[in-house]
Amino acid sequence: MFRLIKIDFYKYGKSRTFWVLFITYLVTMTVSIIGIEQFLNKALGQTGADSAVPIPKFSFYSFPYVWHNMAYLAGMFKIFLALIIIFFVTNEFSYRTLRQNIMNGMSRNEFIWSKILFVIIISMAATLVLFFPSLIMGIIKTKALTWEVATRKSFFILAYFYELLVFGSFALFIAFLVKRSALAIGLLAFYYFILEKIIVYKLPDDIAAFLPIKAMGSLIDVPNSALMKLFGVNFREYVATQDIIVSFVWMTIFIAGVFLLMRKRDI
Amino acid sequence: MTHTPILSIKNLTKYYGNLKALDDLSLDVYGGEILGFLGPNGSGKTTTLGILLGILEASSGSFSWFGEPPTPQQRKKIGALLETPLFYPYLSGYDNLKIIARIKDAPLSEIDEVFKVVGLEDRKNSKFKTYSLGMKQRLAIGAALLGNPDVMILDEPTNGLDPTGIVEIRDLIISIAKRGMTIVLASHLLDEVEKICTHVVVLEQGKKLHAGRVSEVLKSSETIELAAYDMERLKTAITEEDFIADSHSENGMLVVELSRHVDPAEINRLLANKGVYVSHLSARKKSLENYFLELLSEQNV
Repeated sequence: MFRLIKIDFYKYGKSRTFWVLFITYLVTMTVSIIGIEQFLNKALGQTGADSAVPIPKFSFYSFPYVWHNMAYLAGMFKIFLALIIIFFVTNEFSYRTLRQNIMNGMSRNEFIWSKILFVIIISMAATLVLFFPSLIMGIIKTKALTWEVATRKSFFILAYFYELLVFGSFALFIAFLVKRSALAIGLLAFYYFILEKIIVYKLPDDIAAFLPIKAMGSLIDVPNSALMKLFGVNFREYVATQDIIVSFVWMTIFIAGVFLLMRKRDI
Repeated sequence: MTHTPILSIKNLTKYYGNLKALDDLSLDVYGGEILGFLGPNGSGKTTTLGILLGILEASSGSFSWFGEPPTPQQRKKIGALLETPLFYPYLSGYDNLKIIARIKDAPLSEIDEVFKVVGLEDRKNSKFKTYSLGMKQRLAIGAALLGNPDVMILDEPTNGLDPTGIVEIRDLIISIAKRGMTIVLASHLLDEVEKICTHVVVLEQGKKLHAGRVSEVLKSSETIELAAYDMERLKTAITEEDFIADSHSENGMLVVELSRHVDPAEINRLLANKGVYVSHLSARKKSLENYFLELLSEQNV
């Protein structure tokens, strides 16, 4: 396993594109996490001025809510990580380095595993990018800081990691399926932004919950803010078992699909 | 030879959709041979090599390396260059070979040696995309040399190179061959095969037309041009001999094809014994090219 990670690290470690993409993600995430409260308070504050009901200013960052809030926010950026995965996997097809790898004695399954490990590492890195700024903001903004309050809802960080694994497997499957980066990115975006949304709209809610993007997206539900409570909306503050299972089934299907695609294919 | 072949191909067939790219190919390659895969473009050379390297899936048939069914592990001991050099363009030559060394479980210390052998030491830290075509090709041969392979598979290694580049790559291959490595070389350039190979397989439209030693191919097709003042007597005298396969007149000369190698001096002596004195005698060694064209035209009749 470490051999495969090492080989893949040589492939990306010196790629400028890889680091540009990753640092862009890191900066965007950090800025978003630090700036979201101010941004929302400003945006809502303006509407609030004209509203009859006083809209309370809310703090996103106090423990334990920061974990849920930030995990939800970060979930909106996951498509960016999918792009990194698609870009580097399809590169192996377009440079035909996949051929070279196999010719030199890598098995097809080893190649697939190296890409699964890549998805895991990317997901881990992105989780850390979420974890540290959230942790720091939480420490700064929580008045009564205790260990218990700081860790209470930290399972949302794990849920985020899990969501990325599932989404990463989806991206991996599409990359292996169409092999061309532009096509794969187009297909992913089309399904993510348009197709599944249409299907969800047509289906009853309890059936739509079985669709992949829907299931992995609802792992982390919309955080309940004071504003939401004001409107009487109440979202889940836990991770639903059904979403975990449905996501897991999809992840298995995507990964199995990759192995199946590569089993007898001419490369 | 009695020992097991390094490579044994049995009834290999490959379809691309309805197109039969490879038709029931069987072949054995023994240690130390330099086998030339000869055939026009699209004759199935690359398809065969692709199957042998685990990249393409055969429709039917089988092959074995080193007497065993194929595994990825075996490919670590096969140095291969298929069609065009395939590398990560944004990495240096050195970093590209590092990836390959890791895949092949070869020590990284071999990389510097390999750069020396292919003469790219000065450019090993430049990005692959800045290499000229000849350099890319040399890097690909260098990559194939990593891990001390027992066999080299080279597909059109001089394709697209300028004349100097061609000579360089050929010399490189010959120097590798001198180490006693078994080499399979696909080429549509006959004179390349003639210069480098010990054995040859001729493919056309996925079918094996001929297989044998290069020297046998050339020897068996030896021809002698003869002329004498009395052509009739010459003709009678020579066709009596058992080593004559065929004869015909050409530009006032008698062209005879020998079924086995006979020294021209011997022919002269035999004829003189029969009282025929030749005014012209020259051995015409048929090139592989003539032979090849002949084979293909026979096929197309």
